[in-house]
Amino acid sequence: MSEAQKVMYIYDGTFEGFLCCVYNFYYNRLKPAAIVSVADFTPSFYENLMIETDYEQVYKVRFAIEEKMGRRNLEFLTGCFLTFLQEKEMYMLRYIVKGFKKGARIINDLSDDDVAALFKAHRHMERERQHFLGFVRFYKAGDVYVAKIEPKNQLLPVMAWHFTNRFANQDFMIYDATHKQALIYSNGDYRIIRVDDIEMPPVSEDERRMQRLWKNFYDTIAIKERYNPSCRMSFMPKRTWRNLTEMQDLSEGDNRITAGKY
Amino acid sequence: MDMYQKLNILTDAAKYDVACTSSGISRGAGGKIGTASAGGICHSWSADGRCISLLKVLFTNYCQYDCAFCINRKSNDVPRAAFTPRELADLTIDFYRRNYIEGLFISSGVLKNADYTMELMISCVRILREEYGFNGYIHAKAIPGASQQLVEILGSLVDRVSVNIELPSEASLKKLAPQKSKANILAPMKTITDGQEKARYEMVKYKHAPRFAPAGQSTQMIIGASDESDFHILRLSQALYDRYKLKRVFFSAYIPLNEDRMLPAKDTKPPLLREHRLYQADWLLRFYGFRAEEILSEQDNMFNPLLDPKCNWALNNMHLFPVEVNTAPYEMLLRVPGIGVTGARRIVAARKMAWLDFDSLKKIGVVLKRAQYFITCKGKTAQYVTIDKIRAENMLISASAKDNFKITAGQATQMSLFDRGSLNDRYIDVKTERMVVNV
Repeated sequence: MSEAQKVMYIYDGTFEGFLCCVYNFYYNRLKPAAIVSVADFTPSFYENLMIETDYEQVYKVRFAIEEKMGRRNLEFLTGCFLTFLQEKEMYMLRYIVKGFKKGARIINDLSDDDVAALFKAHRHMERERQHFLGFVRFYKAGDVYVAKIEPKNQLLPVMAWHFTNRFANQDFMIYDATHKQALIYSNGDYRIIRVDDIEMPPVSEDERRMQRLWKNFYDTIAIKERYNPSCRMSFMPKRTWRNLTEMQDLSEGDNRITAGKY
Repeated sequence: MDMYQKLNILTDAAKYDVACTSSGISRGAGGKIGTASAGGICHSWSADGRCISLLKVLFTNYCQYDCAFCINRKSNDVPRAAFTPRELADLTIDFYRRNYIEGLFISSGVLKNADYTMELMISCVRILREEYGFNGYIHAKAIPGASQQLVEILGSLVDRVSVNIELPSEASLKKLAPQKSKANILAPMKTITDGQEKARYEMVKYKHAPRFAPAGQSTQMIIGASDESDFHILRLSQALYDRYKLKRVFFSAYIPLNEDRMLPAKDTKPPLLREHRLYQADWLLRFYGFRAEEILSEQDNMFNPLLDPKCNWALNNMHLFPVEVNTAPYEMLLRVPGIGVTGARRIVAARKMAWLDFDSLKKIGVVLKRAQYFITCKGKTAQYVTIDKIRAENMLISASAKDNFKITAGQATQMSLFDRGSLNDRYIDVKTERMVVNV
């Protein structure tokens, strides 16, 4: 396999594309040294192999994973694909190879390095999702509620269900600036689209008033005898503050009163 | 008075209420807006590190009662305000649509009388549920002394109802909150427990039986305003869990707000460490299968300030250790200091696949800092560790002392050699020391 080792798989960056890489690994017997998406591709010493996404192959691999490793593992892998783990594709390929041998219980084999790495990344993604369910801050622009987030993992696919259920009767958009994606919900239907750059609409004066009310609540609810900024920071890291309404300076045309402030 | 000032006053008055949880109920989109998530969702964290999940406000801070510890007591000269039911409902919806909050937490001072106040709260919740079709989380505090029918109506509209038990004993209640009594606090609590029992029974019989406070009830009490022991408080919470099926008992370190000869002096620091120890023990009761009598006893009735309750229990029961990770039952793994519910579950899952050693424990995310003094892997202890009470105590105290007290290792060693009696004597000193460091 020595020369075969030098092949680099290039795929379209979708989960389906990745499944085709798995198909190629098994049917062409070419062991990849790396698997990268077109977007991340940089020329190297490796021989390049373009993997076309073929839905026949996608179906076969998906079916095989579900058949041999169970639905839970397929869901786990789908989730792993959204994480920002370096070389996640290689970890996932090795996971699948091991999983075909060991079966569904592979997911519990936490003392295995590949499983542990994916488990950790997946847990990070789940936690970040849980946080961002709370951290999305909409503001009203016309009839639409819009929000911007900058998570580390690709969260929109796993957050869509929650928000479309919760705000079933309001049109909204969540823009993920890290991954240049937007979740758009309108008239009971949603889609996640790739976008280049979105200029967020300006905040109206009415909306600003609402934001000040919220910040007023936020500042007042803290008990000064229990002031504990490091505790807050560990739950709400500073990188998230940029997109949190209550952490902005909203003063101007100030109608605040000082009681309860510090 | 504009909305801005009102919100300011009524938030400021509500901030000492502890609970802000939105957990315990999972509900899809049934109404026009809103869902509830079983695990609860935190939307922000305030500067004191407490999570903000619900819009926590008082309906009004006008109050007929004169409880000594309360900022809103009748005899205090503070700015007063009251929402109208519609104002508060509108504000809740506006905040909810922007994903600022998970729902509403509504408590209140007593305006005119208990029933009148409850009626106002109910009409606010009605607007939310019936007019807006709001399906998100609502937590309401029942007013002690309100009639049973009103408590029942409230329970059928909201997700969680709670009644504050306020203080850990009837004597303290009589002294500090003369208009409230054990009887009129426990009565609504009983009504809620019964309502839930009935709803559970009816749900089996009828498909669309109405639900009653499906996320359960909770309560809270103030710690440090009166002189009950930790053991007393822990036993009380245990009884509340057993008898009234409470979901949570919250503790609130007493912050002196009023000058009163029956209360600790106004410059007393809030007993945050004691509150922390109580919560640790509370977790042991609810998730770890401990009983209050195992954690403390009549003679040894205060927590060890230098050790968490679980470490303390383990050191007093060294004959049960070391525990072999690869074979011990789940219940015993849970009792190892440093291993929690998640860790124990992961160990049980992972050891089916391979024998675990200390490296694999690290890999699956079990923190060994405390656990290493109480476990073996494949019959071996961790490197350089012997299972020995005195040494373990020494190591554990210097580790936690570094975290909590910021004192040097030498001092900690010295302290750990004191017998338990003198440790208790030091409780107050060490506590104040910590407060100075942390606040």
